Amino acid sequence: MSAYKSRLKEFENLIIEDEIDIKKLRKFIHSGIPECAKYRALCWKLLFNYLDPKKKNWESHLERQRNNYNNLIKDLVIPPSCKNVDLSIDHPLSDNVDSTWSTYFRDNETFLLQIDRDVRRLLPDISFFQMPTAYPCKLVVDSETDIRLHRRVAPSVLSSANVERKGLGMKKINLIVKRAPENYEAMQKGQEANWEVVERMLFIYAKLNLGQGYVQGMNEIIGVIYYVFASNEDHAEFAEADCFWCFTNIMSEIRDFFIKTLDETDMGIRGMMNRLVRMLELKDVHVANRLKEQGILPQYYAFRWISLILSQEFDLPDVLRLWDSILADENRFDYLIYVCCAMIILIRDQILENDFEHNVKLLQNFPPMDINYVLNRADQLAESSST
Amino acid sequence: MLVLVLGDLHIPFRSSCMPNKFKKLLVPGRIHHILVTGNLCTKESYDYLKSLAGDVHVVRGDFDDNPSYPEQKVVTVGQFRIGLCHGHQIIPCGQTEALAAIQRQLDVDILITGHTHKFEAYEHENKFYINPGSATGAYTTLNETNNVIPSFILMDIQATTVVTYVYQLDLETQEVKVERIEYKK
Repeated sequence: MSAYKSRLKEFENLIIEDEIDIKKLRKFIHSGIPECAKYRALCWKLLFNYLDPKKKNWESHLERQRNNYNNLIKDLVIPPSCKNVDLSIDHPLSDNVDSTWSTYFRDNETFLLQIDRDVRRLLPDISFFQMPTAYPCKLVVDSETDIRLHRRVAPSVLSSANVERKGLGMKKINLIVKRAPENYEAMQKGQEANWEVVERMLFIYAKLNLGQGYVQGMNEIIGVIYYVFASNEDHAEFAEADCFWCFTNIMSEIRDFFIKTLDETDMGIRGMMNRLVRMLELKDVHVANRLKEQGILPQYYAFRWISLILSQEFDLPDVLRLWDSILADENRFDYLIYVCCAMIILIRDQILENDFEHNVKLLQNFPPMDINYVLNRADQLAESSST
Repeated sequence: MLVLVLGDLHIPFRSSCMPNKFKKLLVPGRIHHILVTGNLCTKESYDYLKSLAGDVHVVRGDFDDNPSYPEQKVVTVGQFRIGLCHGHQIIPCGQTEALAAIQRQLDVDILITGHTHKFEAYEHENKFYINPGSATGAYTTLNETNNVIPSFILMDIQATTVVTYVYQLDLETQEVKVERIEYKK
């Protein structure tokens, strides 16, 4: 049997158990999930701690989570409906903090606008996000009024017609066709684009975590997760709900990267960048010194590498392979630091020769290379650290 | 969709400005469309309304400075056709049957007129008639009383329902009263 087939067999043996050995699975996934697209969604759900290792718990757990998510949509996404409320505080122009209307407008201003802008340009290289999803949210697409989230923030003009009358003759009602600025129409009734689904997930996350809100970059992370779940036929039907909960799980770990006030602490992004610099000094002191002399601080390149878990540095297929290993890591995010270190060491020749400007450009636009080189080098670094 | 309806400001001729309570309520960013029944009268008022919302539709009133506003306008919002006319052209002033004739001519579901400086919102023969009154409480010869109550209207247009929120300033207590009226097509 070829190496691939034997690996596939080993993997299937691991998955088929009623109680999956997570430690063994993690070790296996470290070398990558077999590339037939069927398994990645399932494995990531296990790695995000969304699915229990015990298979018998899956059905009830999934049903509960998916119902919770649907309730969240009903509560948070549907705009203030026609209820009989106390008009002294709850009318559209009310400033009162308790008013549903003022919450509605506050949400729009604070995070919906930014979310809308970011999701429209999510992963522009692939058409996936602009395509309609096979499982749109029925509540939203079938509702009579237009309650899609982006309607709240998209600029719109009413179509109007001036009534002209010539003397005592006929009245003419001419429809004024304003040349509309770039058509932001998403989809027709009954359909929903994938980016609209991502917008909804991010909106609900921001509403549930008001302290954190929405920070640019979260869209990239959730985009990758959603892509994996939605492009897998078995998992596509409830991709939205599952993706939301997995995203919440991973955010609880990387939340510290996105909170400004925690930037300086060990847990924050500064701490991670310092770890990277210290490791580089250990592994390759020449490169570390060169970067220091040229004044290239880790903020210039590593900030994006670490906070977005390298989702912007490589093409999507490579990112998926990378995330297999990074998520399989028992001590997240040790392996991420090793990968970043490996990335720098692999281009050491260029770094040692170039001047400041070229080095910064190089680090910010990492040259395309076979992802396996990066991973092999990272493994070597990890091994030499543990010995 | 939120649409603000107001008119008959008569600034600066009969009134110096909108009541402060109203100005505090009208902040930019919440409302995206404004329908004006007319008699603004000057460009300053128009600019102020433009700063509240990008999409402002104005029809000509008898005291407006700008002659290029149309006399009547038909605006389409979702499934509703809304007719906009100042009302000084309609005689007898503010009478239901005369307004109904205009509604039939323009073939609209909702007819918005002004001129009487008196708030009205009623349903007649299954069509909705709105008069936002005067947002500044400007003087008019048409009313018997001397005190005109400042008022304006905010429409929340959903698929087949229009929810109208009426904002009136009580002259004695200087408090804003809000009322809610629903109209189903």
